[in-house]
Amino acid sequence: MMAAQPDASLEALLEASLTSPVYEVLLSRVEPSEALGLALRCVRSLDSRERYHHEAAEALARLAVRHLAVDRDAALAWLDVLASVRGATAEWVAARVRSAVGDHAPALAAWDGVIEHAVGPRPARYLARGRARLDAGDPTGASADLREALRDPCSHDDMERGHKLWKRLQRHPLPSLRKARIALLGSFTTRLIKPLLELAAFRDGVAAEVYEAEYGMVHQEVLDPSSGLRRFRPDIVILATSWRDANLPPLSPDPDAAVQSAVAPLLGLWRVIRDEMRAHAVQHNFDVPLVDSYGHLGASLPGGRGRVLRRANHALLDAAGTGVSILDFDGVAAEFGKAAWSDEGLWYRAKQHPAPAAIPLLVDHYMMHVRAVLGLTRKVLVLDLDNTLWGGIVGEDGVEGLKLGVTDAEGEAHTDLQRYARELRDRGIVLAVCSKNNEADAREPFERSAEMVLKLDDIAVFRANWQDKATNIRDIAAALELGTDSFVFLDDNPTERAWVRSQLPEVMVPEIGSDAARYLTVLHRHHAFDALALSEEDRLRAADYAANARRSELMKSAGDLEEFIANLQMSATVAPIDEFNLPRAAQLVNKSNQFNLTTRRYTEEQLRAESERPDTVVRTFRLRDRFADNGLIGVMIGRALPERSTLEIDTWLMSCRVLGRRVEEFMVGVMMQAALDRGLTRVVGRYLPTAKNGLVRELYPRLGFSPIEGSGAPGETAWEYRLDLLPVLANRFIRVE
Amino acid sequence: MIRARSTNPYASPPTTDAAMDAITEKLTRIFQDVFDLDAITLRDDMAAADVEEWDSLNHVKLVVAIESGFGVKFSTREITGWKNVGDMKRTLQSKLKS
Repeated sequence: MMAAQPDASLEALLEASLTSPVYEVLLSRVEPSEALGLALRCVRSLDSRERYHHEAAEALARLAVRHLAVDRDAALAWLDVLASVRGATAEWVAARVRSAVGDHAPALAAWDGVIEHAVGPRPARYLARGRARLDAGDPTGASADLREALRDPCSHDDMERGHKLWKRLQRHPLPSLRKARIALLGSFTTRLIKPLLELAAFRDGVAAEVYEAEYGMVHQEVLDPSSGLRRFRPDIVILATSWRDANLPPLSPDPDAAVQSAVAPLLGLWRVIRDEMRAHAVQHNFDVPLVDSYGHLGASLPGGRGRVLRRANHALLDAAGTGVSILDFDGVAAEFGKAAWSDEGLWYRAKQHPAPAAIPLLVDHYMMHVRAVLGLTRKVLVLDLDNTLWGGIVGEDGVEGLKLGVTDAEGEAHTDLQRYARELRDRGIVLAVCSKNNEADAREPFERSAEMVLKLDDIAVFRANWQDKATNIRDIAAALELGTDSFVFLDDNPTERAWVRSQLPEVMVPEIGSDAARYLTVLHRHHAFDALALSEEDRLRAADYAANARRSELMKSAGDLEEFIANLQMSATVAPIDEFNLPRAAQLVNKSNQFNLTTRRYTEEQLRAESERPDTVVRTFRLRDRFADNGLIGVMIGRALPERSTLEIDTWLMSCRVLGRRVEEFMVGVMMQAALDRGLTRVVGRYLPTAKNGLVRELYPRLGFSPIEGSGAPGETAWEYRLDLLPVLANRFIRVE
Repeated sequence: MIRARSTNPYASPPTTDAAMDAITEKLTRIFQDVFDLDAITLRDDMAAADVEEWDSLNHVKLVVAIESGFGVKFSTREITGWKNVGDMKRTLQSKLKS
């Protein structure tokens, strides 16, 4: 039943079906003895015309891999022949087959080539090398590849595949990620959502343990004190509800009451989550459904379902205070596209909502809230200049030759990016410039061009030179006294992006491509700067960095440090935790890495709970000087141990912006006084070393504390200050308000 | 080089047993992928109860994967009518024919 000789019409048929699912079906009909020969001819044919089709490459690779089991030697010899074919298909197929052979070194080399030449879809190539690296016993490399695969928005299928690699990685100890316990309570099934949420958390540097309830058990899980949810003790509870939960008729006779009936049951859940479980609630708003028997009247009549749901969404926002954030489920639906948002078949069969294809976008929005709760919001935007902030190259085209402003399509896109950056700056995101240019050339447009929206004053740190960009970004971080893990880097040049990523993996580097019209969409999709609330400090921050620069000037002119500090005319406000300072205090507790003695993290809710404990002293510190209001710059938590007449400092952190002004002396003095007020005569402090807090290793001895026997981890030290023998420390330069 | 009857079956829409084998082959890969198994042999009388991994969640994933893998869309009646692998294959075959 076999054709006697190679069938040219089959190859023609294969060519014709290249982009259809039939390709693989056709290939699978090939006789084993002919398989390798045909596969090689297909690869050659595709590569000679520089055509790459990923599904076809995968099908060809599978064909060869199948043959590996039949005749290993023949397959290996075939690989040698394949090595002489130059092209993307050959490279992908060879890497796949080499992985199946099981010799790690050649397989890894093949995948390195695939990545270097950018063969195949981005997620697929990084997932493939990640698997190969894990097979070769390199979980660190594998997790780097998995993150790389997930960098850009992925399809549901890609994320499902990524989750399998993630599951394998769970068996290996990985570098410490931020831990979070997240509960997912759905009125629809969340079983397709959970794995993608775990994966998106991993991508964002969060080790999430996700608790999933049976669907439709939202109220029971929250209200029953013995429920699985309560035992899980979550940090964050996602209330995944939809328009169906509002249970509205198409036309409500009393619209106000209808809004109330949709919102009221959720308020009770928030109260329990916030006040009893001490967790943060992320509440879906209502996604307005597309199908409505009243047609557009549903959106326009006062009692129409669409209109009532939209009002209910406003009511949710009005009702949410600290500890609750509203996830714009209706907005996610709009972003995804409402026509494809629901798969009604899956809803009827499996109570699945929304459609699987929308879940990657949904979990991105979940992570935006999770990152904000954990204080992982980015703070700094580093901008390239040529072809990023403006069109053209200033060193060659001159200021007049740059594309900027409304007279040019490309210029308009660059101007919009500048406007967006300027708006970010106004809400407290710090801007910096990092450009390969002569400094004078780079500054010229800022100084001379009327089309520039951004001015030099908006840029906190300006680095234009010929050093490599990773080094420059490190310099910028040092100048700002901020960690590079709070940086986002925008550059049109893929080589620069790759270099910065390889040197500083913690910096977020969006794949903005090279079309200025698309920069903003790509940047925005990462939700890097999204916060739960806009605090006063956020708005002050940008001005604050400018003030810092002026302070350095003063430092240069004032010869003597004490004179400099006195000249700052500092005043401080010391206060316990309250509703107003809680968000900022939590932000600081979660973000500070360098001046942080114990690096213990507390969510907003946990911090509130700490402040209510009778044995605990929580103090927040605001600092003003003659240049600026620095806002809330420090938090201390002290624990009274009366049986040992001791106040132990559980947490002490300070913003690095106010280093070098002896503020730490002032802060510890406040704690010492608090100890005396409680009749305690000893203050104990500990230093728990991390990768980032070497700055404060010697802090306690410098303040006059004496070493005591510490317990615990290597490098951990413990110190005491005897108030029955020594005076309370003070800083005469800081006036208390 | 092709297992075929007297004429090339691919010149006309695939209606032969060979075409059915080809569907089985691709279906098998999708099952392996979704169930995360290295090998699985599909039989026509195989049903969800016969395979440990074939729970309701994986069934949902399976349908989604088959639809995207074969480039087809099933109706609710078709999906709820399936009793076993054979039923799935027959639906697929009729979809690919049209």
